[in-house]
Amino acid sequence: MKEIPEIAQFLRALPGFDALDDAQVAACAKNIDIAYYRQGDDILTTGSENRQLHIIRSGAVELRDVGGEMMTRLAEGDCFGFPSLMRQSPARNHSVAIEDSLVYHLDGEAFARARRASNEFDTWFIRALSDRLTMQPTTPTFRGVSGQRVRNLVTRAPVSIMTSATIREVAQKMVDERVSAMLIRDEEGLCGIVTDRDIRKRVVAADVASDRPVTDIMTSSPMSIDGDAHAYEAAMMMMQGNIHHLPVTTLGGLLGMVSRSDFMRLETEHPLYLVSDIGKQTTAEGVVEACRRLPGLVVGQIESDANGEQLGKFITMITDTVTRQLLRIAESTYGPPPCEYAWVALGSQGRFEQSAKSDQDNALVLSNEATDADDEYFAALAKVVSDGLDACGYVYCPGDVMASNPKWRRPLREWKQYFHRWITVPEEKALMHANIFFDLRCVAGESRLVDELKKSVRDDARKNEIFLALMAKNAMSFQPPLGFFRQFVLERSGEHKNTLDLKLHGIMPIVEIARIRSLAAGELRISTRNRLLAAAKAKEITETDAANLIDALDFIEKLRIEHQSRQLQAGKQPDNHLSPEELSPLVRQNLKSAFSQVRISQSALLNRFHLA
Amino acid sequence: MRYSWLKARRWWSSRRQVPAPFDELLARPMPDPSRLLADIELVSLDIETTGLDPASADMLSVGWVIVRNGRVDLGTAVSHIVRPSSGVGASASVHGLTDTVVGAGLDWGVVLDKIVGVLTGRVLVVHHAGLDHALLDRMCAQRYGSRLLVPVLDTLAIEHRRQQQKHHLEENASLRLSDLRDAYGLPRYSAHDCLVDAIATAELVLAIASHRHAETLGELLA
Repeated sequence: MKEIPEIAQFLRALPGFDALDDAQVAACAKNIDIAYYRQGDDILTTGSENRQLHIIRSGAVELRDVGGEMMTRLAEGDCFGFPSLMRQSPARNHSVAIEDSLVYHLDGEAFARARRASNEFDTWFIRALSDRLTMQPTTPTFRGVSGQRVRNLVTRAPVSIMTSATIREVAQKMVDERVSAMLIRDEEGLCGIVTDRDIRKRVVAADVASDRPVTDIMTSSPMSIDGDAHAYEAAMMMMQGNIHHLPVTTLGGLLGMVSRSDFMRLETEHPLYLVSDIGKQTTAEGVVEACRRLPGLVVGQIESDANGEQLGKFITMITDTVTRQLLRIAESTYGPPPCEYAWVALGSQGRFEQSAKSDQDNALVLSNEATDADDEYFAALAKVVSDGLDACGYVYCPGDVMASNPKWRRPLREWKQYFHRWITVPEEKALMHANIFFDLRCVAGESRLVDELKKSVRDDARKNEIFLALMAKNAMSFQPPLGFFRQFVLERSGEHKNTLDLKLHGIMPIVEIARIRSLAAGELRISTRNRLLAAAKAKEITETDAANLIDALDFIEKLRIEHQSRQLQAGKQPDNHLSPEELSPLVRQNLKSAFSQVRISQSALLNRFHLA
Repeated sequence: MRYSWLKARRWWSSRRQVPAPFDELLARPMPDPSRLLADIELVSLDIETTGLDPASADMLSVGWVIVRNGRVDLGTAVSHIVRPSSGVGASASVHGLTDTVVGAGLDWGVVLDKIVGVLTGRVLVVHHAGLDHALLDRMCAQRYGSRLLVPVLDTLAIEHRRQQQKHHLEENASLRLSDLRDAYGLPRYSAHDCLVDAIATAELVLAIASHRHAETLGELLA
């Protein structure tokens, strides 16, 4: 039979098929049926008979396991259905067209003949089979226990008692219920906690009468965590607070409790060991040394399929830990601080959105009592932290927005003036600063100072529509590319020529939209996702818009993570510059729709401030 | 041609003695117009000609493929080069066919018999049917004394009607095969090989059938 050039050409380019000679390719082509599937159509259902190899000619297909979890997405040139074909068993996965797709069906007999004819072809599919069979659903999970929601670790309903109880009653109930800690409630909810250790230390050893009220010995207003938080956040909290039991709350009240033993299953290479290791260091060099394990851990998290939000939180928590430990070391070198201070994280650290490649942005808010003479102390403190962070890989801020800069090491009242000026006299530089400084979060020291600053900033900003409008206009300076195939916006110069800056053109526009929308809603939430949700709740943007932007952010961050993971594994410095060749057609398509969502939201923002 | 009229014409033609294989084409019932596109057998066909006037143009080459059970069966893909009565002339540069290649082809009557054979009991699918259909009619009249008389689906006409019905915002949206394929998310093929065009049209008709799954053959013939 005469060769059909279009078909043969396509087949010859496929992995596996490239091992076949022209006659073998022609023999395959002759045994192909072509089918068209609309978006949403089932191709193979779990348990169905399959007698063909499915090859995607165009479009995209999703494989789902029995439980409906997505296993993988396939695009042009990918094959599926070979596991059932090769093992002569019913299809294991469910395949669904997620775009309108053209699929070639190669007859099973012809496929078998090709495998007999070419060893290389056969080997390729045997390897592909073992890959496919070991594939796990791609739902984001941290390795081990720590990626779960805290609520899933709670094994029983909360064991609690009212504040009116005596110590003896509490101890008796703990024995009856076989628990090592008891939550104490009043009319308003959780107000204290008592543990086995408290009974030992505060009652028996201190010789306190057991008919005293439990309120005498309980730990008041204990730390607690929301049931929807990730388990690793709970573990961090317990490690940092040096506590063994953590109450879990939910909107409606108490959910239960988690204890350190719930985390016993953690593997030794787990990130939490790094946190605890950093906490043991007494010198800046020791902290830097401990941080050498960070890139490996980041890759580990990515491999266990952490999403952008999880990874951002993870890296930020390590940065926070490093910052706190360096402050502790500095304080032990230079003595206790002469007045109260708050160490403030700005930018991506402030937002819990750091990536494997992040600069440091930080500042010091000092108490109003601080004198000029005190500055010497804080300059030394800032230098230790800033140098230490740099040595750990969080390089100095190119714009010198760091506490080591005297300009960003001021008493609270001056900070209030800074912000007031930025908001009321919004020049270009002021807007630039506002962008960084609005993402402020207290990492160590007196959080009261930061709360007070935030409150005054929020009131200033919400009233000032002109400032918000200028922020909105400013946010347009980085626009996502219009399209991918024909209008791919690449940086035209510099070392990253012909690459796309995912941060500048993808992530930053979303971050800015979220910041402005939440300010307009009078919210000073800190993470981009929370800001969008808060803005939607305040009807500043629609729920759909918020959800779409969060999806877009998830997707772009995921791409950046994978890109940076490849770089880390190759021993290179991670960056934000993605080369188009790294992207499959499906990914390009998805990125294109993510970008178009960002553009829609940008123009909605312009309309909101009548700038369109 | 409307289905009922086509049926009448076939009945009329079949009363006379017609040569094989055309007699079989007339004897075999046509697919019922109430059936869905996905349920009937189609022949997607494309012809390269020596010119644009059906009265004088000759068939240079032809390619076709059968669509059944909603799938394009590449095992049925066939193409033939036709030995013309006169030289290839100017259009050779368009089709990449030279006199030497064409000279090695089959006699047009032999090829037409094959076309009639494959169309028996099936529906012809052509993109922009005008010229190809008129040419086939003329050749059939010459060889069998009757026009072709099979149901013809013209993918261009179907899409044209759809655009008119929907009062499409984009006026004059392109109806070219490659543009319509783009619109349905089908891959790009290099043009001007009649077999590739036949396959391309076959895939397009699958896409149309899939997007308009509620419509019957009769409605699409319109």
